[in-house]
Amino acid sequence: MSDSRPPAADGALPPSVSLSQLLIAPRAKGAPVAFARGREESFADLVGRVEALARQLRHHIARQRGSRFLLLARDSYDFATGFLAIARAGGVALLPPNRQPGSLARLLPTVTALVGDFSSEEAAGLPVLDPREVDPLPFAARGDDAGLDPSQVVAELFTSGSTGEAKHLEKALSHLESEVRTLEETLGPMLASGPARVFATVSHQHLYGLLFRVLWPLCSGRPFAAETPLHPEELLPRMAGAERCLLVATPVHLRRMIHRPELGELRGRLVAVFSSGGPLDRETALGVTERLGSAPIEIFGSTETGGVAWRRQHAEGEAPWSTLPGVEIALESDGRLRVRSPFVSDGGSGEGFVMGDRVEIAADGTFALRGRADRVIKVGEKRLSLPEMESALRTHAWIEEVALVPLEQAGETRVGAVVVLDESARQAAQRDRRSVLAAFSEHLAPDWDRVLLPRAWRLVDELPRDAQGKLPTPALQALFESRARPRIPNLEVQERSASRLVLAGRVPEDLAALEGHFPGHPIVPGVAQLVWVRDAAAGWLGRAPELRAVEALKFAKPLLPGHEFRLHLERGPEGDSLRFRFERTGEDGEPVLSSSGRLALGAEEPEA
Amino acid sequence: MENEEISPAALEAELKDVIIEALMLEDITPAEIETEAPLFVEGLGLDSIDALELAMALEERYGVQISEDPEENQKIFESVRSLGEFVARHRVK
Repeated sequence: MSDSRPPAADGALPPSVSLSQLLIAPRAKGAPVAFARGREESFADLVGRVEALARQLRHHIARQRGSRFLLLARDSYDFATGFLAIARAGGVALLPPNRQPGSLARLLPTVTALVGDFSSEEAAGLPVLDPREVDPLPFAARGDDAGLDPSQVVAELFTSGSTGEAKHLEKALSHLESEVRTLEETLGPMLASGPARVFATVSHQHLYGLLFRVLWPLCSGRPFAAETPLHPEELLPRMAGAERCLLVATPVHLRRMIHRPELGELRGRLVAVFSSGGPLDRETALGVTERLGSAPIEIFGSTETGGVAWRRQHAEGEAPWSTLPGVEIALESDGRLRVRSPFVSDGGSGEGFVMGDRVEIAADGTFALRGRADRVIKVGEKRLSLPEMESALRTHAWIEEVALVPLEQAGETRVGAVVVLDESARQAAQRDRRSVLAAFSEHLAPDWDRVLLPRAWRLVDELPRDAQGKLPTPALQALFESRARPRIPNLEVQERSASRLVLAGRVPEDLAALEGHFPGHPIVPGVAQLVWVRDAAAGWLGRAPELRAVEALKFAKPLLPGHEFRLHLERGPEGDSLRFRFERTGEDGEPVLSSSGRLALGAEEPEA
Repeated sequence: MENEEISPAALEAELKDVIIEALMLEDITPAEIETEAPLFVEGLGLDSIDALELAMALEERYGVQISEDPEENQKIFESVRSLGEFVARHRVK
């Protein structure tokens, strides 16, 4: 379990340098740049590899007359080498957010070659330059020019847009250079002085990881971890082997890490924890503080804007966000935040970027987040535009309508999908629901990271629209309050008015609610019937009804698998009650009362 | 301890329940999880958040702690079969 080697000692922290000057910086050959278990990479190795790789890239640029390279590597040191070499050769690094075949396939036709580690299948015949495979040039051969040109575009990142289209964002070297400088000037003094090793749970393929775990460490002379362990059980022993360290993390990882006793053992040595990529809940923030003695430094930003603000939560009240130096903020009329800064990708227009986040700005210039103005959510640290995924799902032949909604599962935000199937798929779903759902997941799988795929599906006859035709999130979420299988997937609307709703359906033989009720003699349990009533009411009223009481409940004749039935709902005159009645079709075709009752409802929410 | 005598098949069946419960999987029953099929990506299709959640559930239930070696952990999480072997070897409850 414990690492037998003595903690690595790293001498003194070298002076910080600008990103454009990094490769020509007066830094010791042997200065550590990156590390992994049993491996340590020196500044001379980095520079030698970058120069060697840059030569090869220049060849490709000259021959192909294209200077775009797809950069994707599992190892952060290989990534750093590739990134700097592409910049050195005057090229642009395209950073795909993941290895999904769909994202790669779209980008491959736009690039000259691939840099990083790729299978031959992934490379699809394009040349691959693996930074690990190059022979480093001698340190003495490094360029003695003026360094890199800050105005050159060095990277293109991808993120999901709010309108349904994925976005390409160009980053000039100056965007990254000025942000790295600001981070060191603003946050650097909060890190205990002296060298420290940088560990991370986030990928360098995204802006947060690119800046915090690769570029800032490179410029500030702090060695960074080449590996990205997934589990705290893997990460914590690695940090225990360092004399002093920093951690670049996300809320998903920190939520698990605070439960491990080894975290507390790092007190005094893990001198700062950064968190970004989604909101950090207070419990986790305070949990980290309690174990390490200092609060995590949270960063608020986006791929478009780079870093915008930072804060540290504390036990008293809501901690406001402070903008990073150089960042100007303003409130749009719809409450959203406009950001201008040297790090914002706005094509040089100076207009800045309007974020999807609503804020309240205080007199002292700090601000508080007040939720998103659009339907963009964070799952894990990944940004997901619900409209974008809905458009993708709508292209599936079996889907007539679809609405996605965020769900809370075990403290994490996940995606739920409410789907109206077309007629042919309805029958298929009644026979084999799982295969139909698997087909939808497979439809998305090539393009979307796996954590973004819907976790739960509800197949409905119609989406729960309100009187204005909108889809209220609570009504969608209400469909997920109980599990999928106890439901009757297909209830057909026979009559619908403001006061009355009649649905018709058939009790499927494979209904999960039948399990255990009763062996050999399955009947639909009364509680399942009440769940159907509630769900039907949610769709009808456009909100999840707040149940105060169930009155006059009567079960006359049981509902059995294969029974055709009708569910009648009638709204009480005051809107505060709901009568329901299940009637099954008797052998003579006449309706037979199965059950009935009255639900007392909470007060209706005022119209928004 | 009472659980020490449990057969590999019984433990595997139990693990399928743990997986469904801990990861809140819908639309799948324990019987539908294949013992030897991959748990992640293809097969059951679990993701990285599931991996974190599952490691916590196993520790809570069986007192087992996964390795500090990512490659080793990939082998442990390969399938219900490999999970069962790991839990049987290391469980303290």
